[in-house]
Amino acid sequence: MERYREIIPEWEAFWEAILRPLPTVIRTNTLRIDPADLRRRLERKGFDLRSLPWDETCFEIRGEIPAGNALEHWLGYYYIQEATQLLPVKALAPKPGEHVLDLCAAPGGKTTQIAQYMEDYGLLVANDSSAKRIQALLANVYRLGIKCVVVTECPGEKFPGEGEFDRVLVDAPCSGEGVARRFPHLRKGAPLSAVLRLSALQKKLLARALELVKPGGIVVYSTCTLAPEENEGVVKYVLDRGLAELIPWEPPVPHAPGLIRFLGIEYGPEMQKTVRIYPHHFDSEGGFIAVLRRSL
Amino acid sequence: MFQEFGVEELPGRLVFRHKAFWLTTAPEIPEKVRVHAVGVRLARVQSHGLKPTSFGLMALGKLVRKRRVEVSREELKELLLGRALRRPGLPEGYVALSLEGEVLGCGEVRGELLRCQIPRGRRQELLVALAYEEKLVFRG
Repeated sequence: MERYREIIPEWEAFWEAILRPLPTVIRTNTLRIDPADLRRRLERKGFDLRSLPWDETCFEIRGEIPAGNALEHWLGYYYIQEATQLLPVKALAPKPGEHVLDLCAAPGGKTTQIAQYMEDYGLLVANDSSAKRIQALLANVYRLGIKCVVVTECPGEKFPGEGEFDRVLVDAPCSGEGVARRFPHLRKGAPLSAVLRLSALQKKLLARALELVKPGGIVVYSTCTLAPEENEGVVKYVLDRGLAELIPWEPPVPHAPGLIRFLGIEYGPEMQKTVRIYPHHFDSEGGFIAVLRRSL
Repeated sequence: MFQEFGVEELPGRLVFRHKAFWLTTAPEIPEKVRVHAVGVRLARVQSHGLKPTSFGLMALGKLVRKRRVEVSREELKELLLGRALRRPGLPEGYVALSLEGEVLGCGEVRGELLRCQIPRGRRQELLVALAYEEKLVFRG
């Protein structure tokens, strides 16, 4: 992580956050239950819930038992989803009746969140390249009872079609440096070889997504890593080829703008339209979000 | 078969695929790509007929108004452990198991015996959830 010292504001606060336990956040499955009803049920069982100030369907939860072992979880009334992971779908802003593709969907947190935005009406294709990960995706889609979803298996960079979707989410496989609070082995940072290998795949995924979305359609690119090569570097790749334009998006939480340059590589001022989340911003994990519109 | 469960209108359309009926609101299914699921699998075709899935019954939830069998927590634990309950007077065949008004999944009545048909992994998870709930102090 040391290579990020120059780019992460409040370096000490960043590390203090990394070393603190991560709060547990749940997202109400509004297709099944009203957030107030869920809150009442869980509070009756001794859980303490605090609504997220920027999303009344989500709660920070504390209790004597793990949130994943409550009956309401088994019933599909909520999904445990880290706060930063809630943001890419907010940026995507899918609507009922639309055709939406979640290109790297497993284990399904964002897929099921998209379905809620769509009010379970429309076409939601949840794709993943791994049959093993798809089992987890299916378990969550079934548990939450999502009916508008079609679960597919295909390498994302080879997903067939052209211009068929209103919106595409590319929540790309990444080196995961942003989730170092949960996985201490990531605190030393990802090996550069892994970062560069993933960056090559991410460029293919994002370029493909921009072919799959309709001209003028929206693609959200997100990762849970801090590595600029996997974030700004990937976005710059598609901008340089004239495949898309960046759309400014203001998240409802404290954040930093994307990087203009890093270690001698120029990404350009345009990249300030992208969003970086660091763990100390609002006691969460780290991540990166870019909203792009396919060129006409 | 869902009329037998008192479901007057399905909240979506039925699609037949992979030897099963799926409940979906998706207007189309992508081609040229391997499809694992289309919405929620409602029922599997078996040699003796259709068998409703537990996730399918859960998805229908309150729409299930017939063949619904309410069990207590103690009875549910017995069922989840693989034991049969003697419940005379129930209709033969598949039923929806319900706890405190919530549809949990599929059960089966043969003779006077009620058995659980919820998949093994989900049964284990539910047993764990029930065990944790016993430790909790209810405030309500």
